[in-house]
Amino acid sequence: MRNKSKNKSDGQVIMITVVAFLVISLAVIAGVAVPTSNQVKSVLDLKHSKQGYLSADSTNEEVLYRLNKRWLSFSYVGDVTLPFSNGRNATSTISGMASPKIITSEGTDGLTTRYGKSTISQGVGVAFNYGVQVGDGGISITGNHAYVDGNVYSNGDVTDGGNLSDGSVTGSIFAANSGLTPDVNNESPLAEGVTNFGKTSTARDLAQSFTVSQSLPVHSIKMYIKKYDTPGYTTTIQIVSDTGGNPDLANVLATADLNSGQVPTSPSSPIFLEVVLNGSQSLSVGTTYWLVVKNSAKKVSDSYDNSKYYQVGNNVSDYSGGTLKTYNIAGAGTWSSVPNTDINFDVILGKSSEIAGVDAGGIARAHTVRNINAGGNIYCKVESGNNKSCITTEDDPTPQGFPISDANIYEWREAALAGGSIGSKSISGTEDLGPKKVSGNLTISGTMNLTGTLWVTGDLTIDDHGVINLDSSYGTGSGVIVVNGLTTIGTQAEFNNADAGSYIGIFSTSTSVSLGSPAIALTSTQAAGDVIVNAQNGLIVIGGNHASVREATAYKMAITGTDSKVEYVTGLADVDFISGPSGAWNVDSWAEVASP
Amino acid sequence: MKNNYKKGYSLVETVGYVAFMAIMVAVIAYATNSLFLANKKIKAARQIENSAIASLDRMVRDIRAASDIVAGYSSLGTGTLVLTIPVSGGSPIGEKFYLSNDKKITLNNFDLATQAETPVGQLSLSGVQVTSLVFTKLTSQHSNAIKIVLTISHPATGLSDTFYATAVMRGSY
Repeated sequence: MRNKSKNKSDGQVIMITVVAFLVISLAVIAGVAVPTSNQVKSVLDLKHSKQGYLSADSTNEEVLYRLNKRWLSFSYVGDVTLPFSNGRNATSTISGMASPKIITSEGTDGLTTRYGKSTISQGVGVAFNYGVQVGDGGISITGNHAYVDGNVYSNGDVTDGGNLSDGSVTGSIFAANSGLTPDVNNESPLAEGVTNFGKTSTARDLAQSFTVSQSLPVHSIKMYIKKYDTPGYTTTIQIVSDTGGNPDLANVLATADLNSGQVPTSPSSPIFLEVVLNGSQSLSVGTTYWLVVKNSAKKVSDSYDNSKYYQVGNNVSDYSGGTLKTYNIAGAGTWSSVPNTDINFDVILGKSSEIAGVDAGGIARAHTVRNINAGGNIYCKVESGNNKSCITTEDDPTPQGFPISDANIYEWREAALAGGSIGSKSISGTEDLGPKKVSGNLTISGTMNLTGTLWVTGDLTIDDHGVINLDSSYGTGSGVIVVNGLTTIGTQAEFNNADAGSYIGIFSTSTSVSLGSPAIALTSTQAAGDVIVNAQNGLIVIGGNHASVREATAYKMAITGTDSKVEYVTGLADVDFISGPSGAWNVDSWAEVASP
Repeated sequence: MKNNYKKGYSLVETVGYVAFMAIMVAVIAYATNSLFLANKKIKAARQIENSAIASLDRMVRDIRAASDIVAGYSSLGTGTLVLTIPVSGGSPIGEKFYLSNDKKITLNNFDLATQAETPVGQLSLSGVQVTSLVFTKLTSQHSNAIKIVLTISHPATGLSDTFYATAVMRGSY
């Protein structure tokens, strides 16, 4: 009994002590841990914020770098996003049509977001050189001794029009292949079966007939092909016309050799190999033509090597535009049909461009280059009569898009309309005009002060002594005149800008390509000044003997004046231009902002 | 009668308990004291850090926005920096960062025309002292930058730390 009453209260003190100690320790630890963890959290937030700021800044820098390296084209408007991860991302949005551009960047890291904003403009520098830009219509230099002082980039031919005019370009010439149109497509179903050729004497060659829907020359064909070992003979691909239901080998319309090195060797899979053909003239719509694959090295007496041949994919009863035949060399040689079968093939129409008769001080580059003297290298695939051999290992130049879009033209028309609408107008004294829509013709024989965007629905005529001044309110910005009709710029017409770097732009929507009444006719005999002439759908004729403009861009251009000199200051910027007028993107301002 | 007394505590037991309690109290007191000291140090470190963060962040942001320093009124080696900050669509404003007599980093608005100063506020926290503030101007062909070296100390605990930052004056682009 003595023991019982003792047991219940035994150890009471130590328990109380332990509990008290525990509570005190916990309280003290909490008092240390809580502020520390708060501090850690706030420092982490600061780190995220700093990383966000630096990400935004980096993206801003990336955009400027890409613009100066020409990875983004002149009028590109869009976003650049840097590939961060782990909850961090940074995007830049670029706005502004030509120059200046405004780059707004946003960097997010964790829960923080910081913004940067910079303004950049095209100015002095040597990041890139400019060129006169011409579209599919090409450029012809027919005036005697006429030349472009700088570079030319054309999506069509660059020729002297056969005039032996001694026309030239002091810089580099690029002629890209324009308007490639896939016309015939028998790619699917793919390789339902296979057709061999060159394996046995009963099927040495093959021929596939087809018709086209547009009257254009053939640019290239594609076949789904592979080879077994390496055949020892030469294979030629030809487009020929039809005679009595068979290929007419006497009438070859285009030809090229098959490069067996480009054909995959079994057991590799076949590929669609594109073969660019040379010498093609325009085909007629609805006429039957044959795509012939010939192995010309084999005679009847040759032994055929069953292990070295080509094989193409085919399909059955899918292509209704033609038939497939193979060539049996026995006797006089016969074409026999392979019923219901057609090979998998494509016919791509279009025209590869050429540089003919126009000398280049720098590089000349096109699919075909003939009869020129070039100071730099010549890059081509087909050549004749040049002062040096072509380097054939480079790809043909690619067509370039135009800087002004339909959306730009629409914007300017709206801006002009905001100032009201008038009928035809003639300015003989000194007058301000703009913004305004002129529903009719605008003739300037005196001096016009451009105070806002103009839209002329009819013709714009600037007489021989007409002057357009850009109003000082434009500052470093540039004035725009949109013309739907024909534009004529007289022999001593003058264009004066406001602050340095500003200019007057004449943007013609006219589709006229006639030499007699072109979209823009430039007859200057003296430097016209700070004017940009742009006719992306039509022809610009430069007839005077000294057309000095700030920039010239057209669908088609003809330099017809004797001793004409075309000078420009800005234009298509391309890294491949290594001389001539140059520029770079420069920073006007760069700051962090509180909100985009 | 014999069972009516409760058992008391023996002397040894009591002495044992008392000794044990004394040791426990001593241990707790010591632990609590060192924890309080640690807490004080943490608070001091936080004050130093937060002062540095606030001052450097503000100075760096304003330096980035500035186009140049006003040389005649700045004394970079002793911690006085007067900046010219361009304002879009208006005339530039001036700002002066300096180390006050009571060792605080202070910001004043600086009128560029009249050199009149209007106090804006104090960037470092009250509990700490800025023992050293040195600016250095870095000049290159295309732009200028300012390097800041800042030493903050907490007088009561004797903690001290040095912070560095550099910012390019982008307003000059």
